[in-house]
Amino acid sequence: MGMLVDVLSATVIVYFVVLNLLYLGFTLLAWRELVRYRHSRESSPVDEVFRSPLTSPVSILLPAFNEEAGVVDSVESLLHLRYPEFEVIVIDDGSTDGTLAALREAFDLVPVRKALQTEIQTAPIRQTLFSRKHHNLWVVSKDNGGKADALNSGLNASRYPYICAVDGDAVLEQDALIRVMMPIVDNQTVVATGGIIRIANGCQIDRGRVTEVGLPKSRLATLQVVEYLRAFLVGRVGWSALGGLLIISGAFGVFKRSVVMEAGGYSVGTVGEDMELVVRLHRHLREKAKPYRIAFVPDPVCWTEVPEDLTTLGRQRRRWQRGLAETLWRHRSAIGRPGMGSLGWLAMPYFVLFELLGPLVESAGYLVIPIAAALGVLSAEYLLAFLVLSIVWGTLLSISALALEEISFRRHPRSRHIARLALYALVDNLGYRQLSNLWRLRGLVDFLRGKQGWGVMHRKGLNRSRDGVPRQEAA
Amino acid sequence: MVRLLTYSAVSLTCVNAAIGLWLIAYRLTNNRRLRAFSVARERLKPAVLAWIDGDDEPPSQTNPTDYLAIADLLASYGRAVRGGARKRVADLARETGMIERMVGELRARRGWRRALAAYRLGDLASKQDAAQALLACLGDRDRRVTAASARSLGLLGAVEAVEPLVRGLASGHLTRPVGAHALRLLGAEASDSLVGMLKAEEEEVRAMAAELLGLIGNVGRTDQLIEVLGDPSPEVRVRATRALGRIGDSSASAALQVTLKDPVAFVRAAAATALAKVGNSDSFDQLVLIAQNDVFVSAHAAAYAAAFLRPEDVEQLANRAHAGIHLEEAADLLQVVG
Amino acid sequence: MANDDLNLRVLAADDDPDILDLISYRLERSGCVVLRASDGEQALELANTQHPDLAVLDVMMPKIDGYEVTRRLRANPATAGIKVILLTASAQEPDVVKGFEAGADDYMTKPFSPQELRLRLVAVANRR
Repeated sequence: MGMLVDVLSATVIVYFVVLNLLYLGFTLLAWRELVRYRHSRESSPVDEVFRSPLTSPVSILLPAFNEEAGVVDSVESLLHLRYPEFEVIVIDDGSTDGTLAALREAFDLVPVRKALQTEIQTAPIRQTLFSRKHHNLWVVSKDNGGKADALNSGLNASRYPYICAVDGDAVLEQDALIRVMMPIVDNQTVVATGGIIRIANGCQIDRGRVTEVGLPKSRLATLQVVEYLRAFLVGRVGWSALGGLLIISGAFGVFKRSVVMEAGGYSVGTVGEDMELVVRLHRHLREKAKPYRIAFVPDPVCWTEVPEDLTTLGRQRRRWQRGLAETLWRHRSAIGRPGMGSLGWLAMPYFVLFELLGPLVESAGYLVIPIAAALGVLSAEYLLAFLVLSIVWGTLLSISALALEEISFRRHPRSRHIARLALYALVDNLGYRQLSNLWRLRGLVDFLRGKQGWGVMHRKGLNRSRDGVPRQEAA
Repeated sequence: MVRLLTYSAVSLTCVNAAIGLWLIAYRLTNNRRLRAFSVARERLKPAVLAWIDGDDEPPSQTNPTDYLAIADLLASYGRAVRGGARKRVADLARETGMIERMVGELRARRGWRRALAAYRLGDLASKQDAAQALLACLGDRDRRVTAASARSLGLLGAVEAVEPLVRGLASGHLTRPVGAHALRLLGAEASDSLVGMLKAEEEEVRAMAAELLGLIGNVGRTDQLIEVLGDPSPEVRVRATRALGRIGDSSASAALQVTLKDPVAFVRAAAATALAKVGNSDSFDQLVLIAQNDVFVSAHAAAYAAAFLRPEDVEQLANRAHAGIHLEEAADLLQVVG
Repeated sequence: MANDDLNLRVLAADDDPDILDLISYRLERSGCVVLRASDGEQALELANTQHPDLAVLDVMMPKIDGYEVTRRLRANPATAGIKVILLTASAQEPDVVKGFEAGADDYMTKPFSPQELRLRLVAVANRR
């Protein structure tokens, strides 16, 4: 028994040392990339790309389900994007509220027969509408089928070589589309790009534009600000540089249409369809041995609201973990396979070991280490020192993310913002992390138990707690 | 072991504290610097505007912040104006030594410095001052530098840049929209070189030359582009087709009608769109056939083209059964858009 | 640069403060009274309350863009007589057509020459 505890506690400790060293590695890598990006930004030919008729047009896909509160504002903000040529396709996924009516009224929609490609099967289309006010706005109204299904309808309806998938309540900055397209404009082998998601809670938003950036009043939301900065500025920047970016957020991502179609479109059977598509694209392109790149662009911003209460946040994190598990399970054959490159030997193993199983190991650690201390296998001082070290290390990573933000984008202009964030970086390891672990553990358990669908959500209106787009339980 | 952990924890705590303090200090000093810069910029703006407007008195700069503020103002106005006002921007930039400094930066070791200098020269300099130096940068190994140089050469009207720009575009070393935009700005002078490149050996060069001729829009080049419609490469054919559409010369219609039968679908689609732009309704019947029978991409383009050329006929056709989804869509849109 | 006495009330709207200052400077130096707006909403408000003779509007503005401002000016009998010059970064044909369809009297692309703006202003003001 003593030996078992010994082994387990050693495993847990080694695990954490490796994990944190990797995080440190990512932070340093991200530092280099962000400095490089910041320098390039000043001589980036955005104006010329905006004025050039050779810039690839984009079809923006906006899947919407019961979004009557904010859909009109979202569409307005999309229509005012600074980009030479694009169309906006709103997919009303069988909303049971006034979403379609709101759109109809605001944009003077008329029913029109639209030729849809049928490459990907979707739930039946009820009607297609065109806006008399904005000749680049289409609405596809269909039976409910889920977000992935809605996006697939959007794919079928789109006619431009690139698609940009956005979320119903996300607010894109005016330059976001053109900046997220820059890597593609520069290099045609880039097949997908994603931008950064920043938290809108606490910001002033006027008619689909963020007029003033602020920090949320809610403590939970502020903790998430720090968390998102770490996840995006360190995680995504790092993985993008290593060629192993597995996630492009469904709230804001651009994809080359032909490649997505070839790979079969979005997958309906999973709750993490955004990540699943990206992983599938990696595999598909590596199998075909074509040179390609999937990149994260840290600059173009999509503002989105995050949950401010524990219940909704917990549900969101459970769902994310379940989606992660589903995707990794589905593509498990890519792990370690020759020909899969850094996807197979670096990215996927990392995600399985550290992102997927992380909560399991950490929770085990909370059990095993105290037992080890009680049994005398580990001294109490050892335990304490280890605990303190891990907390301090966690703080180091959070505060480094803030430093990265400071040297690159500095979106939170007031000094007191950065002071407050620094404070939260200190406490984020004292409870929030553990809570997050618990939710993720439950998500993993959900996956193992074969749970499906999204569950029931509540929407509260414009200042709503966001947990993504609600769906009915899949059959 | 415990001691190691304790020392690590303590030193990391110090590191954390240091970073935290640095964050706040950095932010405070940065904010102060930015505020001083903004103040200087607003104060100097009227003097800069007066100079651009023709006043002989250059704005006075008493310290480095002033110098930076004036440089920033000049760059902003250099981008916003043209003609006599733009010349005034270049004059002041030259007088204050900004141009000399930036030309020097073109030889900096770091790529981003070279790129930034190349970029700014396009906003501030005149052709005489900077074109030569920028031309040399078109061969830089760093893409940011070539893109910035191309942009600036276009803005400065440096005709000598045309051939290296086209070659850069064809080799893929230069970002397409940036190079193409620069060539558009260089306009008529560019089209002579481009016509020569229509016969180049490399497929990409021919394709790029064709596309650019379309963007420059010179009607006199129609015949040369028509010849290119017979090129063995589909990429070249499609770009020549698009170019003919952009130019809009109706003498190309017969050739474009032949292109409607091209073996490659996206070339047929481009031919349909081009015929609509060229305004030739003789091809109507052919377009309708394509709209009803061809694959999605060409059928779609043909339907729209047919609707553009003869709207009433398309509306009539769409009312019959089996008109096909593309003609139906085109007809419905005609109703809406008019 | 001759200092003319143009005696016109001009509404200038652009979300870029540098360009707004440039236009204001040039026109004020020509003797105009310039009303300044940074977005479409402000522009409409000023047009309704201050009764300018002419408006120079940037097309890409927040809240309400230049085309929409022009349409609304034309739609309101109190402001329908205001002459409009649109400024835009794009010279693509559909945008030019859109501008005139919205009711603009003239159209200039950026980058622009401030002297040319003045000349066009005079020409447009003298029409009808």
